[in-house]
This record gives sequence, C-alpha cells and structure tokens, in this order.
Amino acid sequence: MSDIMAKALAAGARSGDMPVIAIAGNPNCGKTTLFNLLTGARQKVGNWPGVTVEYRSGTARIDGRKMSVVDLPGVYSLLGGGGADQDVARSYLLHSDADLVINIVDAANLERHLSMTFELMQTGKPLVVVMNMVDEAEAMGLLPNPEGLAEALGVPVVPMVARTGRGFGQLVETIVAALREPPVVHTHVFEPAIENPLRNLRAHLPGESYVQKRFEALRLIEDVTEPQTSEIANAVAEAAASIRAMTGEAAADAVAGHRFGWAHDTARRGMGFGDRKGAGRHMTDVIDRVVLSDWLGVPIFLAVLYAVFVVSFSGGNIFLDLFDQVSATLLIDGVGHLLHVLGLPDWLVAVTAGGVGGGLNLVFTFVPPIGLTFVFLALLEDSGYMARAAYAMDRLMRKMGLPGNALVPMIVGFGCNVPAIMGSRIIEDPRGRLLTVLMQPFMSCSARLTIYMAFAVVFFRESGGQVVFALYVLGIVVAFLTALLIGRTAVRGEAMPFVMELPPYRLPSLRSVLLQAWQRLKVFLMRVGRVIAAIGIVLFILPGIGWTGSGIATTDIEHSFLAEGSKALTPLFTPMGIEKDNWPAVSGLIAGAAAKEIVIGALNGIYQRQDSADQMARYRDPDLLGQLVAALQTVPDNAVALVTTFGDPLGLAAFESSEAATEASGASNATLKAIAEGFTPLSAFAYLVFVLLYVPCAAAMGALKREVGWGWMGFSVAYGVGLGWGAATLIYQTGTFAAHPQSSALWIAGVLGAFGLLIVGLRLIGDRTVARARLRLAEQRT
Amino acid sequence: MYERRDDFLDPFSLVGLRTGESAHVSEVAGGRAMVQRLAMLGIRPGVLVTLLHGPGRRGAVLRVGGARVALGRGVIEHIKIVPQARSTVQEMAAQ
Amino acid sequence: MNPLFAVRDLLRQRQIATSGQLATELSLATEIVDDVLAHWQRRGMVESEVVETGRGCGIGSRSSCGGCNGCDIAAKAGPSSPSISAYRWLGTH
Repeated sequence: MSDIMAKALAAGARSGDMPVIAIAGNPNCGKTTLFNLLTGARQKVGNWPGVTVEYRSGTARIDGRKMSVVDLPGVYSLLGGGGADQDVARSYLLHSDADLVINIVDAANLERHLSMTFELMQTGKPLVVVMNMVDEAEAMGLLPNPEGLAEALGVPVVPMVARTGRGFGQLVETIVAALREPPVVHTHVFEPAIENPLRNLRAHLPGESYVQKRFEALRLIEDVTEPQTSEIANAVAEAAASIRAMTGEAAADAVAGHRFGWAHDTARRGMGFGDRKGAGRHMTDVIDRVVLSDWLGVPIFLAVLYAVFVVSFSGGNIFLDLFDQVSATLLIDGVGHLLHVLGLPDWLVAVTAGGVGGGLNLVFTFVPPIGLTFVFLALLEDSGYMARAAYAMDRLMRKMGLPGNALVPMIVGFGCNVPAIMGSRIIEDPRGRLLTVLMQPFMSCSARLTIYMAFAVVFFRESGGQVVFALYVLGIVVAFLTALLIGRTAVRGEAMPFVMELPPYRLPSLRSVLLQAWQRLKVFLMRVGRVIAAIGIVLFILPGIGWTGSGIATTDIEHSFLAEGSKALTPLFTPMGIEKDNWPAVSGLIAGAAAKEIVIGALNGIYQRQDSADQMARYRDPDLLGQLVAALQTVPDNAVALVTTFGDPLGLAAFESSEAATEASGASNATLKAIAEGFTPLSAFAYLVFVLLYVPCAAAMGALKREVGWGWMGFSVAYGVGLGWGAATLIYQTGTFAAHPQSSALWIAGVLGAFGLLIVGLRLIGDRTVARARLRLAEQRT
Repeated sequence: MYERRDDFLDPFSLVGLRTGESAHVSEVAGGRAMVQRLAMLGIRPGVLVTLLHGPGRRGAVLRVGGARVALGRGVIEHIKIVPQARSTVQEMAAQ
Repeated sequence: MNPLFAVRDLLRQRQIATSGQLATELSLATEIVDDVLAHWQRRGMVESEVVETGRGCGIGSRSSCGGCNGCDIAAKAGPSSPSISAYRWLGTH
C-alpha cells in the first residue's frame, strides 16, 4: 500500500523535466540543514499520504537549473523496525525514480552512519555521500578522509559543514556532475556463503526489479519482515539453513554481522585515525616506551619539570616589568594622586597607596611567571603525562618509603601547599599518606615564588633561573629526606605497591588548560591579594606607633612596636646573616608565619613607609601616562633581549634583559631597592632557604591539622622552623667560614648535633610505637 | 634483559610474560585492599591482560580492556596467570 | 574485526557488562555497541537490566571519586542513586 502511495508521490514530485534529488540519512545529522541550504525558502511541507509522517520537498536552483529536492524522514535503517518513517523512506527509495540520492552522514560518527549507506547502496540508486560536521570530527582529533571514503564506496564523497555552508560549492559541483553522469552504484555482493542462498531466495519473490527483490530477500533473511506466503516461508527457511551451515552463524546474524563489519572497515578507510582509539593507542604505546623506560624515565621527568619552570620564568619575565610598572603606576601613584586630589590627609593617602596599593602591586608583578607555571602544570595534567611521571618516579620514591603517586600532590604543591596536603588523600596506605602530608610544606608554593623572584631580581639577575630552580630542588630534596627520616624512624614500614591507571595521551585542549590555570591563578590572586593588602595596612601602621614614655603614641620607625619586637628577635637570625639593621627582614618572617606571601608584603609595607616622604611628592605630581608608556616599552625590549640571547640553552636571559629594563625605567620599586641594601647575595640566599623551609602558612597548618591531627601538625611546624634555621645557618656560616672560622665551626657543629638529636628522638618515638603495637597484639592473643 | 633470569622459573606469574603477550589472570594474591583496588581497575581472575611495557625494574604496564594500568614491581609478582602455551604455538607454526 | 561478533564474544565471556565497558574494551564507539546490542536483543540473545551504581566496588565503578567508600557515600547522599543499564548474555556458552 505504501508502495503505491510512494509511487504516486514520486510522480507528483517530478514536474516537467526537473531532476529529483532525495536526501536520506539518520536523524540529527544535519539532514534538514542541508535541505534548507539547497532549497532556501522554496519549500512545501505536508504529510505523506495516509501516514502522519512529515513530507518536505522544495525546489533548488543549481547551476541555473531547477531541481526538485525531497527530504526523506530521518531513519537509522531501511530494513525494518523503524515504523512508518522507515516504510516511507524505504518505499520511496525502492519505487520512486529519484535521479540522485544524497546520503548525509555524521563524520564524527561515521561507522554508525555507514550502516545506512550500506543499505542505500542496496537500492542501486545513484548516490552521493555528504560527510557532514567534519569540523566536529576534526575537533575530536579525527582526520576525515573523504577521498579514502569515496574510493572505498565507489561514489563521490563531499566533506561539509552544513551548518556554516562549508563545502557547499563542492556539493553543487558534485550534484551537477552526478546528474550529467550518474555514479554507478554496485549493490554490495556478499561472500558466496550468503550471496548464493540470497539469490535462490530472490527467485521466489514477487517484485518489479532486481533491487526490489534483493532488498526484500535481505529483509526476510534478517527476519525483520514476515513472509507473505508459505512458499516464500519455505524458501526463506531453506536459504537461512544454507547460510547457517556455511557460516556457522544464524542467517540473520551472518548478514547483519557482514554489514557491521563492512561499516567498521569502511569507516577506517574514510577516517584518518578511523579506529581512533587504535591509532591513539599506538601513539601512546610508542611514547610510553620512551617515557617509562628504565633509564630515561627519571631524567625525562626532571627535564620536563626544569623546562616548565625555566620557560615559565623566561616567558613570564617578558611581561613581568609591564605588570609591575602598570600596576605600580595605577595602584600606587594613580590611587595616591586620586586620594590626594580628593583632599584626604597625607597619612591616609600614604597608607592606602603605599600599603594596600603597594601590596597589590607585588601580587600583580608576579602574575606572568606564576600564571605561566600554572598553564604548564595544567598542560602536563591534561596531556596524560602526570600519571607517567608518578610511575617513572615510583621506584625512586619507594626507596624513600613512599608510594609513587605521592608525586602528584607534590607537583600540586608547587602551586599551593594547601590543596597538596588535602590531595594526599589519594594515597590509600595511611603510612604513605602521613609521610606525603609531612613533605608538602617543603614544596616551593607560588607564594614563596614571589619572595624568590623579588630576591632573585635583585641579587641573582644573571643566574636567577638557576637560583630559583635550586630552591625548588632543595625543597624537593628536603621533602624526600624528611620522608626518609620519619619513615625510617617514627613510622617504620613499607610503601604500598604502585597501582595506577594511565590515561591515554591526548592533545590538551587550550580551553581546558587555560581554564584550569585561571582557576589556580584566581585562588592565588584572591586569597593572596586580600591577605597582602590587609597585612600591608597593618604593617604599614605598626611601624608608626610605639611605646613612648607617655604610653602608646605615634613615633618614628626606629622606636615602633614592629621595630622593637623585630629587633629583639633579630639576634636569633644573626647566625644566618641577618644583621641588626635589617630587622624588617625579621618582621617579614614573623608575618610570614601567617602566610608566606606576606613576607614580601610586610617588607613592602615597612620599606614603603621608610620611603613615604619621597612617595608623597610623586602622589602630588605624577606622570602616569609617561610611566605607562615606559611600561609598555619594556615588553618589546624584554622580548628582543630574550630572543637575542636565545642561544642560552637554559633560556635564562630574561633576568638580564629585565635588569636592563629596570635600569632604564629607574628602579621604580622601592622595596626591591631596600632589599638590595639590607642583604648580601649569600645572606639573601640563606634567607630564602629559611623562607622555603620554615612554618607553612596558616592555611597549610589548618590543612595539616585536619589531615594528620594536632600532634603531627605541631611536629611539622617545629621541625620546619628548626630545619630552616639550621639549613640557613649552615649555608651562611659555610659561606663566611674564612672570615670567622672558629665561630662558624661552632655553629655548624651545633646545627649538625641538634639534627642528630632529632634523629635519635624520632627513633625513640618509633620504638615506642612499635612496642605499643606489639603489646596490643600480645593482649589480643591472650 | 637480566631481570628476566627468574622469569622462566615462574610461568604462572605475570613476571614471566613478555612485552606484547597476553594472558588470562588466574589469581590475584596480596592484601584485601590491594585485591580490591586491582579489581576496581579491572584486574580480576578470568580477565585477559596484555603486557604493554616491562616487566622491568619499575614494574609493568598492562592493558586491561581499553585501559592502561601501571603496576609496581611488588604487585605484578602477586598476579598469577594461566601460562601461555607458547611452545605449542611455535610447534604449530613450524609444521 | 567484526563488531557484531566481537561484542557477542566479549559479552558471552563476561555474562554481564555495560555498553560503555564493552566499547572501551573493544575500542569501539559506544553508539556502535548500542546498535550491536540492539541486534542481539532483538534476536533474543541479550537482555538489558538496570544496575544500581554506588553498590560497592564491583565491576564498573572505575570512578573518579576515589575509592569505594567515596562512591558509596556520594551515591547515598544523592537524591537518587544513579543507575545504568547493563546487558546480560542469555544465549549458550
């Protein structure tokens, strides 16, 4: 019945000598979009007679010729099980005299859509395949190969993005050519085990044409339609038995299996990476062979880590001066000038611009290198390398009694210790987790980086990258030694074996990488910026009040609370090279116990205050525009300096180039200038080592308490301070040994002796724990 | 490779497998937590695994289904396999 | 490879699996596996059944929520336990 209806329709669609083009394909693959593209507004919409299936047809003008275009209902198959939509589409394709069928397939889902192409080819109609949405396939990392597909199918294939009209020109040309010389479609020939019984069955079927009878035979064999007569039923049973005997599969499965296999193979020819997981898997195996190899695994990981930091710093330094000078111009001078113009008293102007503005300026200054570091870390995570690094490092980590995945929190710890401490939960074994948590405070977080950078810019211009890298490595070494020390003494045992899934390598998506990096940078900016600004005010004021004979009153810095307190503590730090005059450095450390990012903020507050008379003159009469122009100029200058010294394999030239830039702009940063006066390179390095090792920030302490309890948190704090002091003293005293050999020798011996005592103490704790465990075990037995 | 020396002694362990070879897991030994962890990653008795990397000093990388799982040296020794009839295959190939 | 028979053989070996698992193991698109399973379902060799997730650390819980307990808690805490449909092989071995 529907056959008759379709015949009527086919006749109706053809008016005059207009060629008829039918569009066929699965639902939701852009079929209607393509139809609209071809016909524009010249459409009529109705129902196919007798059924509630939408009928859409229209007129297209192609190459000056009018053609009738029919949009067939979207179906997954023509064979059966698809209801009225499918009956309409099948009847139309088998009985109409359409001149050309356009089969639209989703490139991103080629294999599935080719099932339909297979069935369309059984109708024998001239066929053109439109490979739609190639952009999405490309975005998925696939390489659509329309030529390969055309060769496999024997019909023209047009790659398109119907949504945007991409490829429409080629489609028009292909249609014109196909109408002039219709592509011959070879109805697929099965293997003889299927084809011969199929031919026998066909002979028993009614129908007008070879393709109609063959198509019906396929439907009967696949068991999707009922035989009309008992004679046909017998013939079907006979053919099915024959196929079963020859293939070993039920006839329906053999025929369907052939179709699935054909689509699978054809899709591979039509798509570079057609079996995309297979191709990707091969790549992954090749990369893994190198990255995970016994000898190269660890060096590669260290090289990757080194490259990440060097590139971040060098690249970041191109923009460092820009961020520094622009934010200084706007936040310090600009805000200062604005408040001055508004008529606020000088002290308030100084506090806001110098304290808050100056603090924020320091945060912004370090956005380029820190942001780039985050980008590279996100790249490593997204690419799938991070898990390999854990595996490559496992053997080494195991020697220190740690599980290999302890490395993951450590790498996170480069960003911030807090998520690293919390992230240690991925380690299941409680002992490994405790050790990993205790290691985290020694990872150089981004807050510490600001301090390193400030000092590196002043003291280690030429070798800034190496000094910062050395500090990172020192942190890692201390972390490992800590794990080794505690794991061999207080909490003895073996690490749990390594088990981890390795994700396949993939090209990281720019969007996801930038998003991840931005999330981390935002935490840094919001949390750190707020703290630095707030503490900046306090520390800007504290140096201004003190205890005088008549009670608390404003005073000069030399007699302020901060000065008195810091001066009282400074002798403790003299062994590591902090002289009495440099008490602001001690103030910075005191503040840094709350958050390490404040160290620089504190220094900034104090130094800016010392400098405030000079600053007020600039607030009154600033040259904002000139400063901004000068700031912009630093970018090409730094970039050129970086490029011209690119021969330096370590890529550390940026430190030199930004020196030139800073000189040119007249050393705008008062804090950096003050740092230069208070330290020698050696004492600066010792100070940085202390900053690296002593107390983690308040937030990290909170996280420590949550993960391992008060006891271990207390230990971590005391251990960090002691270790920091000891290490900084060792460095300074060794460096100045020649000047005062006797006292240096005493200090060094003292530090080493104290460390020995610590080891003995930890062993005793471990012994007690072991003894207690034995006791408990013995009690359980009795 | 020298670490293969003991491999032939234990054809029933994953350590005895060579890169590229596949075998069915017959038993996963070790602590409860480890057995459970391995099961979560698809390494259970009856499952076909393919050795992608190793076994070396670090351990081995297995393909389990579509996933890659890296296992430390200590783990692979605890995974028993149904030994491959390698010699039979070679004999058949020779005939 | 023939997806129709590859999926069948794997499911026959596993007895029960989700289409995602089968797709991953065979490196096939999930859509293809779904189509194949639809064929076997129509042929009466496979039936689908609903599996509660968050039920311990069984076959399919290779999840990102870190360990069995994490998943359990997450599943219990949620308004409704998410469930997935798995396929069971009905045919002979």
